[in-house]
Amino acid sequence: MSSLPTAGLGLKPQHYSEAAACPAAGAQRGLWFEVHPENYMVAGGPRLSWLETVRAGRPLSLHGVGLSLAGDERPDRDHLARFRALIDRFEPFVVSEHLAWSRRGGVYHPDLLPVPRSREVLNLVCDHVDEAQQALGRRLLIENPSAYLALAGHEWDEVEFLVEMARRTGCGLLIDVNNVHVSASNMGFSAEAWLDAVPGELVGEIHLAGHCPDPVWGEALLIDSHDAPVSETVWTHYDRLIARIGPRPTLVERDGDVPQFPVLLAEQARAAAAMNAVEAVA
Amino acid sequence: MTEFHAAFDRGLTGELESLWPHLEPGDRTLGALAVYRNTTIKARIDALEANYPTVLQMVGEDWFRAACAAFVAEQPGDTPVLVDYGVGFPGWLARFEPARDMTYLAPCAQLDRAWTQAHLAKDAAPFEAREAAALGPALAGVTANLHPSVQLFWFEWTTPSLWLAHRYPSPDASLEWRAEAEGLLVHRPGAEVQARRLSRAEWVFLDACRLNRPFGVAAAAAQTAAPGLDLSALFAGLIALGAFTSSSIPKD
Repeated sequence: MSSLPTAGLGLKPQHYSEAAACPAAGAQRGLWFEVHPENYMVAGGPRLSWLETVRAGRPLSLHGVGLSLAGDERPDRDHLARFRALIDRFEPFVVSEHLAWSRRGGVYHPDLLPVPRSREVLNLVCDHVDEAQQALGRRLLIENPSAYLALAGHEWDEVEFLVEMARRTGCGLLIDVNNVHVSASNMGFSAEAWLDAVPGELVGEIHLAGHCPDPVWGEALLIDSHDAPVSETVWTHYDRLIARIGPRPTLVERDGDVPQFPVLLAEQARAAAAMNAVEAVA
Repeated sequence: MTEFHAAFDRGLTGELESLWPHLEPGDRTLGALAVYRNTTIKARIDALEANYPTVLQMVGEDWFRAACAAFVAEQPGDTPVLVDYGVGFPGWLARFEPARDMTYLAPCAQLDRAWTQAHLAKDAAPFEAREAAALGPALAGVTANLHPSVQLFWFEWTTPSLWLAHRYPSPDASLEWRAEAEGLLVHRPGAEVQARRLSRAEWVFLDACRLNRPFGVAAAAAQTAAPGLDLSALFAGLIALGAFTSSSIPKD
């Protein structure tokens, strides 16, 4: 029987067997895993059976990257149907996507592209979130992206925009604390003030990850690279956020320079300990 | 559509001027735009590297990534399912001028794609020898589907041997590229993708099955291709490989 999800890890194929065998004890009692559904939209084969094995023992989260909800085209029907099939098969405890776009005019850009937070874009995003929630049969959590470009035409600040989107569509929020730090550093705003403004009741999940300085611009342009341990600044922001809103299922993401499984478990355990500390106070 | 999305789209392909009205002026703008451009290109090239490991091994990292950059610009792809990205890469390589002297490259890329397709194909229970035995003389009239992962190849050159030597290295593997016909079966009867050279008779037999001919017709075609063939050994061998699925065996 799996426990309530506490701190989780992004599931990497090279860790399938260790993930399936990891005992649910100590800091790993509430360990859960997150995958991108796009990596499992296949007809059959070992990927799906591995995911089934891991899922048999652990809660699972499906974190989409390809719905292009902030795009100016409707979400792809076929993609929604394949996503829905995975939800029906794997029964994730949470389903999430991004405030970003990636598809336009028959081309898929494998990235999370930005939008100005204008009224026009808000209307588009809300329509797309509505349509996706309907097709997937689930409430979505929407993640705040990392910002690199100073776009013109913002009519909302980011938290207000996210809250308005949640109010209109009933979706929840996935707060990526590393993205907040990266955006705050790149755009010159206060990460603390941003996080302090988020209504706790909308937050269904938290992401933590590592970043790196841009090879050309250095610290003046931080990249949400997911190829390093979570930074101390991000841990501090995280502690502050959960001290205010209470613990939430928290994911440690690592996509580049992926270390051995025990190294990731140590970061996962740190998040679990932080959640415990908050619960002890409450 | 919005003007912003259209302008950003053009910006990603290098038409930066269209984006200026949508940006606050700043000296890091070009650097920030490069982050998006680099991320999208790198993600596509990484996907090609994962999907075409034999090609990568044959030409080396630098040549491979340079070729991929040219491919990515021509065929950026339309799917977020990145394992499906680059289906057109083998055909593109066949026309890629710098690869003109490496005539083995495109067919090897084709086999890399076949490996991925077998890896991700639908699961199905293989047709077992005891099921064939239970059918008795009725077997000749039975049409069996090939396992959904099965892909059959017949090349006029030694592509199968060359590809196998890279993808499934063994001490006696031959790296010779010469004009000698070879067949190959790539499939995944269980969890692992398997690849095995096929004789002309085996290929003819399987190809007839692929065209939904009954076993009896497939057997006759194989015998024509290789007179004096030990048909029961050939058939038993293909069943043992898990090349068929029982799903279409008539139950009457």
